[in-house]
Amino acid sequence: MADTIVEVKNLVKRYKELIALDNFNMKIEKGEVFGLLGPNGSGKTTTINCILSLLNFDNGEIDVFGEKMTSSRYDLKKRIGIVMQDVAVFDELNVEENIDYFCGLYINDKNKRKQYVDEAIAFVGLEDFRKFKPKKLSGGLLRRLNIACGIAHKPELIILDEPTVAVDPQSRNKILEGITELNKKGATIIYTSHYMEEVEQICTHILIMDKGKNVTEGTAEELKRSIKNTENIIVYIKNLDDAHVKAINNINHVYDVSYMSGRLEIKCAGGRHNISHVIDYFANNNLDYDRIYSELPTLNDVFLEITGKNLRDKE
Amino acid sequence: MFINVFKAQLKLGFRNKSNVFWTLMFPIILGTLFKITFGNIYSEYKSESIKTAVVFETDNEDVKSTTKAYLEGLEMDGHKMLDISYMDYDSAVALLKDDEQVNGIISVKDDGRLSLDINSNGVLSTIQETITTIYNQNVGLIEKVAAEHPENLPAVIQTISGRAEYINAHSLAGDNKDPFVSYFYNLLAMTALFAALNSVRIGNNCQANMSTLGARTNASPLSRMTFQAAGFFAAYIVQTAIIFVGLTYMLFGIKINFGGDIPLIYFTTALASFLGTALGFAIGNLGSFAIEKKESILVGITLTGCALSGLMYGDMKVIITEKAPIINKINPAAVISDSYYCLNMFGAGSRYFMTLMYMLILSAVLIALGLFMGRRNHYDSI
Repeated sequence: MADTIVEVKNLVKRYKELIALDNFNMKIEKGEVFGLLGPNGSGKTTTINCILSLLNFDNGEIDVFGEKMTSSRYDLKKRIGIVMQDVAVFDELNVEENIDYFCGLYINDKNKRKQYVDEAIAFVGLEDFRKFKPKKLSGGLLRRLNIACGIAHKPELIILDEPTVAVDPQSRNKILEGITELNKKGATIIYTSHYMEEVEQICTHILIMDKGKNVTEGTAEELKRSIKNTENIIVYIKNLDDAHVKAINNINHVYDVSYMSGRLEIKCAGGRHNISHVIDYFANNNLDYDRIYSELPTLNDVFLEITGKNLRDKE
Repeated sequence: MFINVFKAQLKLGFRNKSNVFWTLMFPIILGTLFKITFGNIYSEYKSESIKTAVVFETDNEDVKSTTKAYLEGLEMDGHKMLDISYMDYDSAVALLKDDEQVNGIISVKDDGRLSLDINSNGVLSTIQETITTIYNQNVGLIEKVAAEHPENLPAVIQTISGRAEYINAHSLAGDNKDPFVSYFYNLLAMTALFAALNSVRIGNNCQANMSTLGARTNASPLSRMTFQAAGFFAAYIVQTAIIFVGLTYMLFGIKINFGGDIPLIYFTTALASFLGTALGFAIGNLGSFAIEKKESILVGITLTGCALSGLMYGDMKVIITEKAPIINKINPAAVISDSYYCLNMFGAGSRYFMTLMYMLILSAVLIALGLFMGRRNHYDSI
C-alpha cells in the first residue's frame, strides 16, 4: 500500500440527473506516468477535481499517499502540484513573480523558494522571459509558465490536465521532455490529454474512461494487444470506386475499409501476409497505386475502438 | 504564507490600472472640475451680503420672531449672508424692479412658510431660493412628523438642525462653511467605495467555482482564511494609499477646505477605505457568477449610494431623512459623507465618533457576510 500514490474506489459523482462518475476505480502507483484518457465529457477533469478535493462527490473513497483525502488535508495538498487545463496566472505579475507566488503557497523559506523558482524557470526554458508579463508571452510560453507555476515546489504527485492544448510542436516537445524528466526525478504524474501520440510517448500506464467508467487500462502495448485491430494497411490510390472498396472488405481478415481523399485505410484482425493479399488484389484488377504500407495499431486505434467514433459533447 | 500572499496582493493592487484610475484619477479629475465650478460660485457669493427685502404677511409674533432670527442669523465667513430691509410688499416690489436695490423679496406667510420673489436668475437668487426652500422643507417636515410619527420628532429635528447649521454656518468646529464642500465629501465617499473594486477580486481568486486561479489556490495547502485575510489587508492598504494621494491633492493641491483637523480627515478617510474594502469583500464572495458582473453590481451600489447621499443633488439626503431615514444609516456613502460633515460642523465630538462607529459596524457586517458566503472549501460543480 505504501507505494500506491492515489487510489480511487467506487467513486460516484452526479450533476443532478447526469452521472459524471459511475463507480469509477483507479489506482496509481509510485513512479508511474499515468495517462488518463477519455472522450470529452467522459469524466477526466471531474475525477481530478475530486482527487484534489475541490468537488463534492456522492459516494466512494479517495486516498492520496495512502491517506483519506479531504479539503482540509493541507499536509497532503502540499505534496501535490496541479497544472490546470486553463492557464491560471496573474496578468499583473511577471513570469518570475507568478512562479514565486504559486511556489510561495507551498514553500515558506525565501532562499529555498528563490532556488526553486530559478530551477523551474530553467526547467521550462523561460530564462529569457523572466520579467515578461503573461500578456507578452506566446501561447506556448504561457503554457510553459503555467506548468512552472504548478511544479516549482517540487511536488511528489503532479497532475497535468491537458497541458499541451494549443501549443506549437517545439513547445510541446519541451513540455513532454520536461514531464519525463520530472518523472525520472521521482515524481508520479497523472496526465490527461487528447493527443494519443503524446500519451503513448510518455505514459507508463494508461486508463481509458468513458461515461464515467473505467473501460480498460494497462500499458500502451497491453491495450493494443487487447483490441481486435492487429494491422492497418494504408494505400494511396486515386479514383477507387465503391465496388472495389466493398471487394477489399471481403478479403480474408479485413474487417473495416475506409476511403477518403485518395487514402484507403484497411483494418485487419489477425492473419498473416495481409498486405500481400491486398497487393495481389490490386495486381489482379490492374489498379495502380502510389504508395502502400502496413503499420501496427496505435493508441488512437485503441481509443476509437473502445470509445467509438461518435462525436461527444465538450466536457 | 500570509506574508507571501500579502506581498503579491499588494503588487496586484498597485498594478491594476483600472483600479488605480477609478480610485485616484477619477476623484482628482472630478475634484478639479468641482473646484472650478463651485469655487467660482462660492467666491462670488461669499464676498457680499445679498440685498433682500423681507415682508411680513402675518401678524403672528412667534412666526415673525422665528423667521427674523433665522434670516438674520445666516452668516458666512464672518459676514451676514443677507442684507435685510423690512418693508411692505409694494415698496419691496418697487425696489426689486431696480436690481441695484434688492435681489429678492422674502415674504413671511401666516403658516410660517417663506415665499420668494426674484427679478432674474443668478447665483445670488439661487442662494436666496436655497435658503427659503430649506426653511420651508424643514417646517413641512416637522409638521408632518409631528402629525404622523411624533416619536421620530427628536431625530428629525436633530437632522434639520444639522442642515440649518450647515446653511447658517454657526459651526462648532468653526471651519469651512462652504455649502458646496458636501459635494467633495460625497466625492471622497465614492472614491472610498471604489476601493471595493480591488477587494472584490479576493473572493474570486480563492473560490474554485469562480476562476481557474481560485481552483489553483484551493488545491494548494493555503487555508481559505489566510488567503482572505492577506488579500483583504493588502487591498485595504493599496486603496488607502491611493485615496490618501487623492485626498492630499484635494487638500493641498486644489486647496479644498474640508474643515476639521487634517489628521482626523485622513483618519476618517482610512476608515472609509476600510468600509469600501469590506463592501468589495462581501460582493466578491457573493455567488459563483463572473467577476465582471460583480464589478457592475459594485459600481451600481456605489453610484446609487452616492446619489442618495447627495453627490448629484445636494438636498437628496434631507429628502431621504424625510422619506426613509433608515437608508442613511445603511448607505455606506451616506455614512462616510456624514463623518466628514460632522467633523467639519461639530468637530471631533460625539456625533463625529458616532458616525465612525457606524462605519465600523457596517464594515464588520460586510466582512462577516463575505466570510459566511465564502466559507466553502469544496463545491458541487466547478
